[in-house]
Amino acid sequence: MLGYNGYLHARDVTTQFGEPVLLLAALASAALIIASFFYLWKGEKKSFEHIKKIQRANLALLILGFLILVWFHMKINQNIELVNLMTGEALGSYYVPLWIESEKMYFWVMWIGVFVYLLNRKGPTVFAAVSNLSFGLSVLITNFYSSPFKDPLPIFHGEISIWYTLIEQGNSPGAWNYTGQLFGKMAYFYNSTYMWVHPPLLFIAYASLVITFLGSVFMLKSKEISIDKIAYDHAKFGYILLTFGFLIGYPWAVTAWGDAQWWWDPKVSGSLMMWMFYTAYLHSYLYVNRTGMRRVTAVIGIMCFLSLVFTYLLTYISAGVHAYG
Amino acid sequence: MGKTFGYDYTLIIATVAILLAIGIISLYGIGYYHNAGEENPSWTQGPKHTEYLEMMNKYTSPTVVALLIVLGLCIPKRVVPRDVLKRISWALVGVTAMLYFIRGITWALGVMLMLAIAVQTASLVLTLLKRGRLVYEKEGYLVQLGSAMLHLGVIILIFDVALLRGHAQHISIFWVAMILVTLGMFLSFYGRTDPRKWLPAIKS
Repeated sequence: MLGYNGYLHARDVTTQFGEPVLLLAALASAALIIASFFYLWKGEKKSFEHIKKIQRANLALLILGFLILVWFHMKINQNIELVNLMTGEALGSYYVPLWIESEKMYFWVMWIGVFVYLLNRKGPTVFAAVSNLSFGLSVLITNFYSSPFKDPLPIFHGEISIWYTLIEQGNSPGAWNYTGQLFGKMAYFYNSTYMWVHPPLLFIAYASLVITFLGSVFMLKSKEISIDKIAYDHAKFGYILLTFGFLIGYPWAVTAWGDAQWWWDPKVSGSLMMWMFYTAYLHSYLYVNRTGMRRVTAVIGIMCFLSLVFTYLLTYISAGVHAYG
Repeated sequence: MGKTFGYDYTLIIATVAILLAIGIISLYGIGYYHNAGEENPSWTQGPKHTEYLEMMNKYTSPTVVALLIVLGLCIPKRVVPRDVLKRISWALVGVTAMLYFIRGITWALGVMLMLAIAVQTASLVLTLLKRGRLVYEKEGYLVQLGSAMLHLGVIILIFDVALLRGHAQHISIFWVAMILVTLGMFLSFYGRTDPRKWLPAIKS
């Protein structure tokens, strides 16, 4: 059946190998959370070495899982080819991006792991321990609520399965119409260059901004210049990717959606809100040493992250052109 | 020094307040869109959606104008004396307000944006040539250059998106603004960093 069986086999293998890898990562995360708590409680520098080792193992497992996803996506490309059912002409193969559907959260969390790894290299601190703890929690959440291995790419799978069912039933007019729909989505969504650039930039930015959020919470509690600087440095890096990621989406949106309909769409408004808040944070930080500005900057930093999470969730909870599904 | 600090500090506070206000207006828009969708899932196909778009544009326009005024007070301080700048700014506000009542918001915004682009371009050229009496929040040639590019990029971006949609060169101008913003941001943030920091340490 035009590669469907090969695709199904690859999907099964992805679940078979990916689930244990993510489970191991979740176990490592539980150990990381315990080790981080222990460090926060006792404050022994030696125990931080354990945190570093567990975190490295955890990140390595997540990267291994990501490689399994890369393999799965390559198999999709090799096995499934859309065909004009009337003429037999090949319409193209899928190049499914690695950060859609349930893979989004996984990709984001993997990058949080990268930033926490870099933070650990700077030495043992309470802030690093809290960052490790947060990373551990985010892996656990991914394992329980957004595993990309449990039911790999459910929407894509549903779409492609319907197509194969229609072909099998010999429902030519239905299959013909449906092929047109699939081709449109393949060209403007799955295979679009934009989908390979815009989302990963944003997710890497989001991961960097998690560190800014933690730094802002610390800013509210105590005055440690080194933590302020870490938060600000991560905000700068995240902000560049965020801005570039947003802007690169604009020409694509104009081409794909036209001019008016997507303006002030919830996700667009949410992104604008987030960008404005982060711009405010970066400006506010310039005068962080002025009376009262420390607290203001910290509060804005926290607001920024709340707006980030809210904007991320908007895809799932609100209607609009970015709505999931 | 104290006075300079007070002036710049006030501008930063005003900028932060305006940015937060635009964020809150966006949040209101999300709530409105969500509620309208709950009441009637196909509302985006009807006239209510057009009204919503107009409402959001109406609410954000004053904040964008305010942002441009602050930028107008902030950026050209590198080129002209502050007292003159204040007078020019008030005159600009007056002309913009007059244009708003005579020709509407599009004209007022257009004139304001074009003036802002002209002044900011002058700032960028002076920075490039290392001339003028430029005063920046952060020192360092590349940082100053980055800041000038970033602010010029933002103003061109607003001009392009607000007034040139549908124009044949809309996307081309957008790319120019995007390059200015991204490159400006990079220089502004990392222009003072010693590149040797990124090289592996050489053990003697």
